[in-house]
Amino acid sequence: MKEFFQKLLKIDRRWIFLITGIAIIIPFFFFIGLPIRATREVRALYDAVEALKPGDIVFYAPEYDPATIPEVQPMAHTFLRQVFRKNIKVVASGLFQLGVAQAEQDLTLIAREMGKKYGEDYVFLGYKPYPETVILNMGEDFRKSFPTDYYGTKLDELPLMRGLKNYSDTKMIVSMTAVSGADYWIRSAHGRYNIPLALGVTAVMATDYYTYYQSGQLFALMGGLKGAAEYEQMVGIKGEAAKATLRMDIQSFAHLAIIILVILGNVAYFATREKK
Amino acid sequence: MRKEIPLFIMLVCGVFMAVQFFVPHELPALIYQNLNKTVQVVGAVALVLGIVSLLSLHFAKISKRQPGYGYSYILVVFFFMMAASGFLPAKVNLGPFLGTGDRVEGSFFLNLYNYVLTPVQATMFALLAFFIASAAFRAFRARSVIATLLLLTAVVVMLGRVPIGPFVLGDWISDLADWIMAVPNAAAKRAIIVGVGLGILSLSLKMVLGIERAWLGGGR
Repeated sequence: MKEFFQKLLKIDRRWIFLITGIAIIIPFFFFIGLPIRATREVRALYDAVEALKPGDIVFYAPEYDPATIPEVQPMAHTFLRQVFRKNIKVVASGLFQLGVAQAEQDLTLIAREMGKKYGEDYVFLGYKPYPETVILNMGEDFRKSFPTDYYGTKLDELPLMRGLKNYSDTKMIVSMTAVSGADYWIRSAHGRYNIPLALGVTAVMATDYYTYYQSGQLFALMGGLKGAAEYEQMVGIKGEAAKATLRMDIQSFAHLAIIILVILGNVAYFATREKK
Repeated sequence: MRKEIPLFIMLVCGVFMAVQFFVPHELPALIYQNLNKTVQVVGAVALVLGIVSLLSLHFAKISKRQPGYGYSYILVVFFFMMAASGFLPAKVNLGPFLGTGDRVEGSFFLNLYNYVLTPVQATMFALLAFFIASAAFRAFRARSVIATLLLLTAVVVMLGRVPIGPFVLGDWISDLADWIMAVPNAAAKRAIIVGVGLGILSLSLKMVLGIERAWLGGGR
């Protein structure tokens, strides 16, 4: 038995890769749909959007790249579906170099799906370098940083932007981010201009932002795939569109596989440990 | 004067940026906006420096046939290709495979993004799951009290943050995971953030007052 545990401790890592791969692939084919419990910090975003009136404007800051699409994109899609469903207008920026094209494509995709018109229902400002400076400048006037939108149209030629000066003309800022840009929004948008701010971040980042949620600097916080799945259930996203909900089974099995591996590793460690 | 002038600029700008935050008047706001624009201009110059530095490094690698110079070829080619895709006039059409010059669906820029960058990044990030599993198997050992605490916390959070945890063990596991995130985790993070903030404040003060001068550069 001791030999078996000794072998287990020295197991080739490719076996671990195989076990992890199987644990990830199996739930792809069998959707179980385990119940997902809603948390206060996610419900806060849902409730805040529901409390808005048709015609209100929100500022939306998607900042995620292809690497973090599985976690952050479901949040972004769900948020856009909720606001467009309520006829709330969206002004968006894309202040992360690797995420600008992603932001534009996602915004266009959901706007088309919901039958929204560019320039009237939503505007995409695009990218400018040095995000914190851009965020500060937009707090004075959107035109300071973006005289034109992403497509090169002057802001005043877009019906939605006429009479819209800065953040104070919007109801809230919602940033779906996988980068340190989240800090800039907290520090320079909420901190300086006192605009209600909500964040959707990756699970790894979520641990960093609980403290801002508790201090009231964030009115809502969505963390990782679980946060996205909770939000999808609140908004009532179903079927193929509920990407996070579908992926939660996969994450459950992957976590379970890792925990079993950790337990096995510890059993083998104690079984083979030499007594002093 | 080579030191006094930069120190004077630092003093004026530092004091102004600190004070203007508390002054609700148009003039400080105007100066503040212009200073922000200056930051962007300085940043743009730094960007050029960065590009020149990056390319010269890889051109040198290629010309000297240093190990891995093939990767430098790929970097240089895609660097210019990606940059060119952003500068292409909207009316240009590179054919059905490459796409158009504008930045909407089917453009050269978005084709590069969707069919090169996206799969590359997704692959790299997806590999993490496998390495984390392998690392967890080898590293999470209950060797001491602290290591056992870390191990138990990780297991509780991993189970509590996915639906299978409460489904099998009951809601307490999620409650415990939420408590770990909201109390011990947030407390530790808060301590770090406050510590870093105080550090930034003291370093800024030292720089504004000319006590810390390393930013002026060394040498004669």
